[in-house]
Amino acid sequence: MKLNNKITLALVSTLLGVMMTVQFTSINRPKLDSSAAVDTLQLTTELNQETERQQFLRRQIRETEAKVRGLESQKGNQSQLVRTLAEELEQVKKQAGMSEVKGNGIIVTIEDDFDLIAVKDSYNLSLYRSLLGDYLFRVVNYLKGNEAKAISVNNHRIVSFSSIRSIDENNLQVNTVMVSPDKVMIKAVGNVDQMKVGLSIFPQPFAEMGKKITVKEVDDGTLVIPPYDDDAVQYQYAHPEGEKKL
Amino acid sequence: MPKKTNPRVKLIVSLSVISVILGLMLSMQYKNTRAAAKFQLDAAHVYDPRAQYTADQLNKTKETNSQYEAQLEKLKKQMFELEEKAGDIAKQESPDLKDELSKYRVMSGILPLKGEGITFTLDDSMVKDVPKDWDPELLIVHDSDLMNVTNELLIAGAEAVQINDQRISSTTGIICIGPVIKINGQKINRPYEFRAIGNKDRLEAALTLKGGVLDIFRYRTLTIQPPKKSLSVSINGYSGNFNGLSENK
Repeated sequence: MKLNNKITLALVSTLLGVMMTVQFTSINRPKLDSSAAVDTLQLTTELNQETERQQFLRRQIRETEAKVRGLESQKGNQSQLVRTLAEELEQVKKQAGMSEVKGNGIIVTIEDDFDLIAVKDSYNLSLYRSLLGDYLFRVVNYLKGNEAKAISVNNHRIVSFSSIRSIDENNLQVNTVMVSPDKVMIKAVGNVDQMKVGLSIFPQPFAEMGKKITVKEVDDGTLVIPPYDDDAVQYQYAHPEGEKKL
Repeated sequence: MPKKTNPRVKLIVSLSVISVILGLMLSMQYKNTRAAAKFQLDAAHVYDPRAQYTADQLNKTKETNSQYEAQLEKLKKQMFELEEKAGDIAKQESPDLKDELSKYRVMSGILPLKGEGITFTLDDSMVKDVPKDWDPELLIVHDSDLMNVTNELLIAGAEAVQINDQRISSTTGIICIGPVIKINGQKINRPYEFRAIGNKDRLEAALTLKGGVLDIFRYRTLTIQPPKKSLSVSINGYSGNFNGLSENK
């Protein structure tokens, strides 16, 4: 009897347990994103971006196909291959930030404003001032996110591994090179209007550091961004997938 | 004996039958409410046919784009292989060409990479009992947080960094537009997974430093999966248009 009792109870509770589990999992599964259907404006912007991306991808596919065809047809021709690769190298160097870029853009100057410094609490001021590196990195990001093609900070070109670091209040490093934090000049070639929109959030945080930010437009195509200045770019840890060493 | 057990067994059997029936009823109930909820959702979809249309279009475009991306990926691979061979042939005339091409491709970010490094994940706070006077802004991950981590990794000598599936290139912006964070113009969702190639010990030390970024995040009760060191971290190639840099001749 005792055994029977136990078995029945066990059976029933297992059954119930299984049923509950099935129920819960099936209830939780259909997580439809109801908010997605609501915000038409956001959807439209996203759609536009994806459409633009599609055009870009199509162009890329066409270009790459052409390059593949070119390389295949030049197989035996050594000097022609050298020329093709050299052209490709020029393009790649440009994308890597290893060549000069010239065009329309803006010059952003961030410098000490002694009227501002005079009215700030000195403890908070130095706290904020030690964050200068982080904020400069943000400015660079907002420029990049707003259609900047090439950027330099105090004439140090921003590349894929560039960092900006405040060691302390008085010491700033860009690309691991020491620069003066008193007056920082960021040059950016790209979409001038869009970049200015991207900068609109920055005057206040820099004011907390006792610094003012001014933006000058260059619209005659003469703004020059220098190439990354270290010719000995060395990759020690990163290797292209599939290749053993660079 | 059997006379004594019979009523008890009966009771047990009837009890179990009852609970099975109860269970079935419960499940029916759940099914019903689920159907009702689904119906309401459908109603919401039908409510704005234009939004639904746009959403459908968006999904279709996204699908096509990922097909194109795969196609491009394959083409590029083919091109790189051909360039390999071409570079070997060109070596007599111009010995550095092949290596330079490869090096600057790595630097530009367009090549998928592999190497020693770290990965870690950051997400909004899941803690419920935070002090009441806390600014709710402290509990979510902002674009500025992603930037700070990226900067720390680069300062520590990271050679390549990726957040979710977006590689950081020379023209990659991490910015927020309204409530969404965009990297390379693409919306990215939490949780945020960082991958970085570089000296794994230095990278880890830079994050776990006392008073460093992770300490600050921990204080804010953000959800952190601490850095994992690995001998082979894989990183995507950048597939954006460098903000139009290449087209500008």
